[in-house]
Amino acid sequence: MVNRKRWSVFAIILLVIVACQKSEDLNFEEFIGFRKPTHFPDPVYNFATTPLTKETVELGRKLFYDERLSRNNTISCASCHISQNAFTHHGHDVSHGIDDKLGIRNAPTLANLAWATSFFWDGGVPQLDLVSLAAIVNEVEMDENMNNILVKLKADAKYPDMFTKAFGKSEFSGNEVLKALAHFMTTLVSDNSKYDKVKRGEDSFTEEEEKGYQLFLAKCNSCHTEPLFTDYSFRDNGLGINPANDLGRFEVTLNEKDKLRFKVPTLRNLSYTAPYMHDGRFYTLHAVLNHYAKEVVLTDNLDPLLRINKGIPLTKEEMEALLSFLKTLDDESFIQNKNFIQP
Amino acid sequence: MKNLLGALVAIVFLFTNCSKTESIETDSNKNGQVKLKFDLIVNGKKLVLNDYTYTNSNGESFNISLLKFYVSNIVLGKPNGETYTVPKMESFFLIDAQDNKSLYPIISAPEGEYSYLQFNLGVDSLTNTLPAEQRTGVLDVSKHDMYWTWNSGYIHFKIEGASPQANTVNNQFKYHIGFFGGYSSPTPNNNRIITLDLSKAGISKVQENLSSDIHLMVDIGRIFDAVHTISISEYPTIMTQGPHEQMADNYATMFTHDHTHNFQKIN
Repeated sequence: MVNRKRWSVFAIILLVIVACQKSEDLNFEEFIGFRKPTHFPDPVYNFATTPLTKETVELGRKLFYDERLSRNNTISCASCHISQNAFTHHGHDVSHGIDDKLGIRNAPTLANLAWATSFFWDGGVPQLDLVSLAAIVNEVEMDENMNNILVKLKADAKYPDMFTKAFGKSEFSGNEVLKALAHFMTTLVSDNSKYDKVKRGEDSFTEEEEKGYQLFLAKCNSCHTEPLFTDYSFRDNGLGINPANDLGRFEVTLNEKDKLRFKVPTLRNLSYTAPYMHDGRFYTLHAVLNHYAKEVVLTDNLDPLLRINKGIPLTKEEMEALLSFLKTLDDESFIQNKNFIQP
Repeated sequence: MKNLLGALVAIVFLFTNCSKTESIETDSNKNGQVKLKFDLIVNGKKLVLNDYTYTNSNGESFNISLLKFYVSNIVLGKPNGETYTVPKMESFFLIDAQDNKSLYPIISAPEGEYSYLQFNLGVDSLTNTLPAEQRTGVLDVSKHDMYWTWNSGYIHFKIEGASPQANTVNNQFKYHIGFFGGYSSPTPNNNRIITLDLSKAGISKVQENLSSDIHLMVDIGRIFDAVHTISISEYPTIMTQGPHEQMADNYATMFTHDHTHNFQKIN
């Protein structure tokens, strides 16, 4: 009798534990790794040197959320690249990093980085494997160095084992830290917006969206080239110099022709990534379209495509149609993806 | 029996662990900090004084060189209808685009969860009749260029800038909006009470030794295009003449709640 009572009590406890688990944890999650969407070009990132595996990606994901990558263990990559905001820092024109220090540029989305030919607004970093280091050593972002990080990670109970499993050797260095982070970032693929479904023949545009798409092809696609919605070039889009005196690409090349040129950003997931531009000066897409229609500044290096009409003439109706097309680039499944959240 | 009790405790413990502890234990005898953050934008574009160019719906382009306005009589409300009114003399703030610190007024409020925020834009009639010696800080009439005379009172809202469409000296436009109802002869009252629902973008959770930061977007572009459309070329100057009441109707619509950061450490 006593035994039976005890048994039933344990059964209840077990039931509670099971009930406790969020339902998604009960579903078996298949490791997807990196998969090239059918309507995308071949990726630029070199997967040949180190095989991308479940272990490298999971390690990268853990590192991405680890505050120990910063000097005083307060800032992780995810502090400014929040998955629910398509890996941007929602509501912040520029981000506050370590000790609440402010940078001068808006945290960009991390979607579809395997196709990027350079990184950051000025393209100062040529390889995804080197991207994380720039944020780690930046004194207003994480202000840390790799040697200190390695000391912290090697003293951890889990990391040494994870590195061994990921890279097949017992010792690890900064290169493996950066590689794991890069592998995780390549898996952040956004290819399931309504636009993508239309391209795959699974959905169709409304009349207004189709009108916007045609306008987009005529007026925007030369720089924001589909399906990635950027051509990765550097252009001066007539914003003029900002109070931070940020000269963009010039700071990397020191070439006069590069003054005020910035990388063309992707237009995917705009609904989740406000504010916009390298300095986050526009809080709404209306403000962005208004800039191209009416507020382009005739700077020395203004892009020739914008010089023709001093911007991009757009009527109110055209703006509305464009906005409804741009909404079809929102990928809800990307910002909800459970593989991207804190492990 | 002991085992059974232990198991029951364990079950209760598990259940407690299970539920997300979103709501906090509150003690209304304790106070926490609330920081209001006023992010200034113009038609969705960041406000940068003297520098950035903006356009209104009439196609008039303009820049802004000065922007100040009073925020007062702050009230925090709970879903059950209870309210907390910040003591009147601790509740006056002068938001000044030139002074970054002024954009983040800090108040103290009892612990609790607040679902709406109310404040007055302007200086109300009662304060406009205070004896001069009680008008200190941001209400000091000689210090801030925000006061006219005893009958017309404080300037609630002041904006200046330039526009090619303003047919004035240096193409300047100047809007100084005052009037509280009048001391001896009646005037319009351009105070406007603003109520913002916080429940959609994040309620404010106030707890001792922590700050709840309520981020508000203030779209200055609304002064031209909201309830009424006001054209710069038609009205480059609005003070005691012109559509000052219409502009007050418009500035009452400038505020939206963007998000809230709760349980922030206080430096």
